[in-house]
Amino acid sequence: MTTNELVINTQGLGKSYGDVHALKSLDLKVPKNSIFGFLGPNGAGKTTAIKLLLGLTRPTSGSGSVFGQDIVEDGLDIRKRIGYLAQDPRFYEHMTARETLHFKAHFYYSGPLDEIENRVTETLELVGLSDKADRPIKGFSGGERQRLGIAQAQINYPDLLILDEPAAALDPMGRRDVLEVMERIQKHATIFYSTHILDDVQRVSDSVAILNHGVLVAQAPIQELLGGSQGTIYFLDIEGETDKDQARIADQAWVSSIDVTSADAQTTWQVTVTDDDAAKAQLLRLVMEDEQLSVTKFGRKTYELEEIFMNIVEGDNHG
Amino acid sequence: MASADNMQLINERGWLQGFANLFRKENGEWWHTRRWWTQSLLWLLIVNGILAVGVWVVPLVEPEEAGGLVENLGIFLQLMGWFPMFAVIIITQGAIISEKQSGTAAWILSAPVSRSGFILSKLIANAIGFLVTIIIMQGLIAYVQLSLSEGGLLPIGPYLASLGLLSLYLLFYLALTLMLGTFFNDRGPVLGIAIGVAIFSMLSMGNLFAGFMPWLVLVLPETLPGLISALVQGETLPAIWPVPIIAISLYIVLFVGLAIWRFNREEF
Repeated sequence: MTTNELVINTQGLGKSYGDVHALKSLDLKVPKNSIFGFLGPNGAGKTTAIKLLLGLTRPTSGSGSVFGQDIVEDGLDIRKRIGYLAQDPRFYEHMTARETLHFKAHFYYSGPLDEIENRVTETLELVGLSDKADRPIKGFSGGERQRLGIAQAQINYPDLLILDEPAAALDPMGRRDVLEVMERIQKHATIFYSTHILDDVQRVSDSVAILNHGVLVAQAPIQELLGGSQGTIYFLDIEGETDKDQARIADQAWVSSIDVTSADAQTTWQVTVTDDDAAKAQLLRLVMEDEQLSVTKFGRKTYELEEIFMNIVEGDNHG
Repeated sequence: MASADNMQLINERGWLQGFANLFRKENGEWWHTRRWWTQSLLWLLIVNGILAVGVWVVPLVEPEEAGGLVENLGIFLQLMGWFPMFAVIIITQGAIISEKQSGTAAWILSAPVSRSGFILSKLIANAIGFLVTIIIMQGLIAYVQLSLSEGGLLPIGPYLASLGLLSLYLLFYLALTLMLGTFFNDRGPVLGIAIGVAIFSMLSMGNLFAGFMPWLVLVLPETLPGLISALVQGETLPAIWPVPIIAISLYIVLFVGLAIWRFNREEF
């Protein structure tokens, strides 16, 4: 991937507060028009990384660019093209939702005022706040504030939307709405978001990075990550005597290992393969050549993101 | 449906980026809320109310205690200095800190807004708010009161010069308080230091340092009320009169510069 295809590109980006290293040498590559999930346990450094990208805090080591511009030198230009939702969004309590969006819009646009009003109205509709548009924010619930946060983040048609825990304060309906908004926006923007809700990440993201203790421990397209780090694995539930067949299958050039577990009269194989196409075409057929065997279940093993996340983070913690 | 193509992009750049929008918002907090009239009413009661008692009530109730124009004008200008000075400190002590603590400063600065624009919008909007509600409004009402009581217009030149010096005096404390707000995250030190400076300055004028550091007296903000007093009494100003004016103006520039410097280093 060339640097032109990257919206965010950091090299060794770090932030320390005295002896505390909030972020250590982050090398992050976020491709254009992706929905990029930024994961990590509490205190992993996600919010610190986001604040560095926005110029709200300054790096103590390394460098970074957004849209090819330096995050320290070109912050103002970068922020013209960014929309940002903070983890705990705060606004002026006396303003209404409509006033807040007008206020935010005027950092980007000088007019025409009716066009800005149209943009504010459609953004309020998009996040479902039209009926509360003229109420002061001080009466808003956490979910309503979050919706307003999402609205103000996209008021300027951003090329990059940075969302820090966008669905944390939302009920299931609100979460669904946020994911729909994100999928809609992806057509013309890149979305970089941190979250703890792994189901959401698995549903909408196309790339993922996992941060732990300020260190990037994984970064990959989500399908690659869900495919597992140990190669492709096929599982078979087999009834019958499998000893001689196991040796026969293990002799295939594209098979790297077979893990066998037995329970009652059933044997389960987990066959790790190096050539997925060959395995797809031949594995089941080769097993079925032995007419004494019955295959009751066959498929390619898939991982849940939560499983991957826990393995990576716990492995990193123990390593 | 709105479209980005139909909208005109803001063409502010550099160190003033975001200033116009922030200034509009800060101004709105003065003039689109009850702040302007509560401030105006408060100072009307305190400053012009006390002046009215001196000008209209005392001559009726105790004629022998009634002061002349110079006394009344002196009292008015003294009230216009000290009370509003404390009000400026108290009202603006949280202008920066509350935004840092609440998270609104971080929200604003995540947009294309320069940190200098953020500071200047607060300085200029508050300066206009205080100068209009205190100096201009109360100055105008007092001028009418005093002119009516004297049966003719007061000499306008020295009066305007006095109000100008009072404006400089209030701007000094406004800039000082905003600057302190960029250095601290609690209101206590801001309030303590700003009021400490005021008290130190007043004590210094009470000859605390005049004997062994006479130059200090010339460069403290309390020198301005001394000049005002001379103007009111029609005395010739001391030859060094530009020194305190230049010194206080330089302090204001220094405080604003320090505030911007510090706020540029603030991490959110």
